[in-house]
Amino acid sequence: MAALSGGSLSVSKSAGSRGHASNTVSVWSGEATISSAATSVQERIWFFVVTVTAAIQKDLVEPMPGYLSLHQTSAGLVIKWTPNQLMNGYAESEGIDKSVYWAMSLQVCVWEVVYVHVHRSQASDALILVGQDGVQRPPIHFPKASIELVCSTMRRQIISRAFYGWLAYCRHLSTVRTHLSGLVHPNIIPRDDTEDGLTEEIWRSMMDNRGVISDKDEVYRIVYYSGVQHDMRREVWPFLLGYYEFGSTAEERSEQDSTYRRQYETTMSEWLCVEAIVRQRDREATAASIARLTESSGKPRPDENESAEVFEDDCSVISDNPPIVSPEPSENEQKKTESKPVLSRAPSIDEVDNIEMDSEEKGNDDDNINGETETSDSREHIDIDSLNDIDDDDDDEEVYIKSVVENPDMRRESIAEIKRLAEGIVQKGDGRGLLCSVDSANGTKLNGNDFRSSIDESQPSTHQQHTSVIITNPSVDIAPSASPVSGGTTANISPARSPLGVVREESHSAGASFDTLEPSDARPDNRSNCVSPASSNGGVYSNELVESFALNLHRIEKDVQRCDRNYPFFTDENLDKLRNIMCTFVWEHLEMGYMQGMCDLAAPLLVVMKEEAVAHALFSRIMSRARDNFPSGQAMDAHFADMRSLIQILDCELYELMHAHGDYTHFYFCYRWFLLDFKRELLYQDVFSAWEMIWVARFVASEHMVLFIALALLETYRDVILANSMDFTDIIKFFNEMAERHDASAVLSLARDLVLQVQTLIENK
Amino acid sequence: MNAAPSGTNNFKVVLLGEGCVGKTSILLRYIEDRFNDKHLTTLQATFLNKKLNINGKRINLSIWDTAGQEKFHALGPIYYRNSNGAILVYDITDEESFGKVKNWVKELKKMLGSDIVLVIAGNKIDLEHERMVPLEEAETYAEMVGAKHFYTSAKLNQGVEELFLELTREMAERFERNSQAENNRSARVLVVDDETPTQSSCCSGNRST
Ligand SMILES: Nc1nc2c(ncn2[C@@H]2O[C@H](COP(=O)(O)OP(=O)(O)O)[C@@H](O)[C@H]2O)c(=O)[nH]1
Ligand SMILES: [Mg+2]
Repeated sequence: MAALSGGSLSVSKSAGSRGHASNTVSVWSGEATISSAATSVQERIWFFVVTVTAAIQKDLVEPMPGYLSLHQTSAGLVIKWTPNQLMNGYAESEGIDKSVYWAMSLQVCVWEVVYVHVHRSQASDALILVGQDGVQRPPIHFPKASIELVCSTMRRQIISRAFYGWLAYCRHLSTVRTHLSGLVHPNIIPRDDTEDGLTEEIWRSMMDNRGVISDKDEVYRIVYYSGVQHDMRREVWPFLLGYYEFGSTAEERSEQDSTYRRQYETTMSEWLCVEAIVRQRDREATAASIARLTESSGKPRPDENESAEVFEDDCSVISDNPPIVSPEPSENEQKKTESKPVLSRAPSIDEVDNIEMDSEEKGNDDDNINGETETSDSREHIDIDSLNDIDDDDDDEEVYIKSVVENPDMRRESIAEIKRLAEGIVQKGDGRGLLCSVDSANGTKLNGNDFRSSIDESQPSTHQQHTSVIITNPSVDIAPSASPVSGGTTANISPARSPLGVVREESHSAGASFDTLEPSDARPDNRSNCVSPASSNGGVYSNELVESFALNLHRIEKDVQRCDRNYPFFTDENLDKLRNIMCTFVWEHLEMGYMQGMCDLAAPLLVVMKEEAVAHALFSRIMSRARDNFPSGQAMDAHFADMRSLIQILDCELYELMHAHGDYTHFYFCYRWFLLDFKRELLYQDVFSAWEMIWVARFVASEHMVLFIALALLETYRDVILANSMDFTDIIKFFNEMAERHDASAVLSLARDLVLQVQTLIENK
Repeated sequence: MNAAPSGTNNFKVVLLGEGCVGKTSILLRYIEDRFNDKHLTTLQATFLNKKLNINGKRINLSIWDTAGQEKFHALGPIYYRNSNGAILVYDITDEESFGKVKNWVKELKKMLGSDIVLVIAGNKIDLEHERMVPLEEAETYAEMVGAKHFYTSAKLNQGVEELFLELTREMAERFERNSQAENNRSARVLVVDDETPTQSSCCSGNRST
């Protein structure tokens, strides 16, 4: 009854014309929605009467005037009668107790009515409803002859409402159809009967003697409906992804491969140079932090101000659109100032104690560094000889960190030069010069920490490689200097990398280019330049570039370590290939950078192709589409919007549920599906099938196959979802638990059916 | 802060922080008491429940583990919305990741004000010798923003239990305080408090008792 107590009953004023009637209807149904929110089914009013005054006679002499209406509820039709006194705008009712009227109001469920009597008399006609229980409801009196009018009004109103509803529905459908028609191809390409998919036999039969495959449509069709036989994937995938062209000869393709491989190796050599710089810096930073750590145990760092600043700008700085790609400049700033002490001390030119810190050359923020450096100076001692002893005293708790400057020339560098070095100009161009090392240090004791063991982990063969601290020898440097995180990966020098041979030599040309570039702070962007010790092609790299690559490199290594380790394929050697593919790609797309999930996309390609360069080629193809799915792109939101339309059309019951339970029609629970093309949802074998279907679907049925697979996944479990009235957290949990347990072939087949269903829907419009 | 009819308090907690700092590992340690260094990167938020008892009060934690990498930052609001607590995790060997914690603190303070209890966790203390984030800096910062700071190692099971316990205790406390404040506020409608000057001024002295 609460539904009737609201203000919407001002309907009584707008009695009469049909136009008004439809207005009021919408008001009523609006309120009805609120009243039935618990069941989430809209209650609709099909009909109401205001022109007719109905009345009840119930032990009362006087019939009482009131309003009659017919409602459609989730359960069925309901007749309601409400006394006038309960209507808004019934002025006389002010101040009187309405409960008596509420008690009189009527609500009759039509499906419970078993008899309807109409008593005609001279004064009026009376309608009497009798329920299943045999109870007779109070008679509803209509003024003479008006019952026919009521019926015809009712009929008219119902028909017009139905019509308008139907019209709105059609319009909605047509909008959705237009939308959907963009999702599938208009012409239906018939099913293929090849059970086993694209077998070697079929493939060979399609190939002429020069190795040309010309009927690409047939290939696409077979693959769409039946997939590729596993052994053929390695050969077929490059075609499916458009790396090989249909129509190319076998010879052309092998030419293409070797060209590509050369390119790949060249690109790799570039970033490997930068990697060498990064490694060098990492070790410097580690050494410095160790020094700092040991120091700081006695002496607090004056950091409070700095962080206070950071926090103060705080609430104001927080952007509405948080930085997505690059860290806030203030942070860079902060990082730099923090790393300065690190780096300037790292070379810790303890041997060079004749060098005075020249205050003219120091920036303001170096002041405290000075102090620190002095402290460390006073504590550190250099013991080059003891380098050889590192591993000898195993049970000694003390750990010696040694700082070495091998190149005597370096000692004569001015402090300014050293500072520049510290800030990233890592090397003199000819590669002779070295800066600092990390095994390195002062004889300070680390309280109770087994420091050595970790060094041993990260640098498996420290004692054989004391010279490796000298970055001038990149061939030794690169592999064994792996950061602890990547220890597993890089510990064994990848066979894939060694043959490249590009990074093994010092480059003299680099020296030349360094000289020419060095004074050019005149470079437009005023960057400092870094020459890689490992450069074979005279590479000079801006500090900015080195930092950006370093950031990516670290992320890549952390993620590669976590990529599908449960699959036996991913041995250290193959993880190393994966790392190379990632690094090469990111090197080529530094503006995009590494994004989590890329490893997942590359891994299956590597599993199938086995060879690094071509896997990289295919990965690049995939990324050209997939990059839009990552947070920097727009595609994800489009997917969600498409899902919304599709579900609304194809399964409105499910849609209703999603809407009613905390409204997760934002479809974020599908995020990972779209990000990785279902790679985490399916087992490897099934990922292969899903992917090749997605790739070729664009030529056969739909460019948005991912949507239909998503839909198929959802539909597969719709009953479970409905039965459990899942909300957002439930569904996230559910699909996380179901990962890799789906019946993939059923899901994929359902996805094709759904495409067909939409195609048919559109065809029949 | 929902009080389920059973008398169990339900708190929503979200784990935030840069990728690879150990959020998933911390949660795995807490919920299942194990460590798996082969688990996958988190690309979609996951959700776990934990029931516990504090001072005889039954509490249910709904904990969201999120995808960390900065690029996924924009997804944060979906998961921290309506959270009672947030655990901001960084890796003590990764200076960057501490910067990320600061970003999250800023954002959470802005979006949720002081409605949310923050704790900061410096994870991977088993790698103490590789520490890049100075101890004092982290602790000072945490204190400044009113967050408790914990050192954890998901690997060696250090500090994890304490972290969640303290967070829960604080959320429960705040919940109590808030509901008391609610009571006081509604009580004030009836009781005229002569101690507060603001009140007499808003009543314009007309109805002073
Ligand atoms: N040494 C050490 N490694 C950890 C610890 N916690 C996590 N890790 C490792 O750090 C990596 C990232 O962990 P993960 O939980 O996936 O981080 P998330 O991305 O923040 O969820 C994994 O390789 C873990 O094995 C820890 O306490 N100590
Ligand atoms: Mg995770």
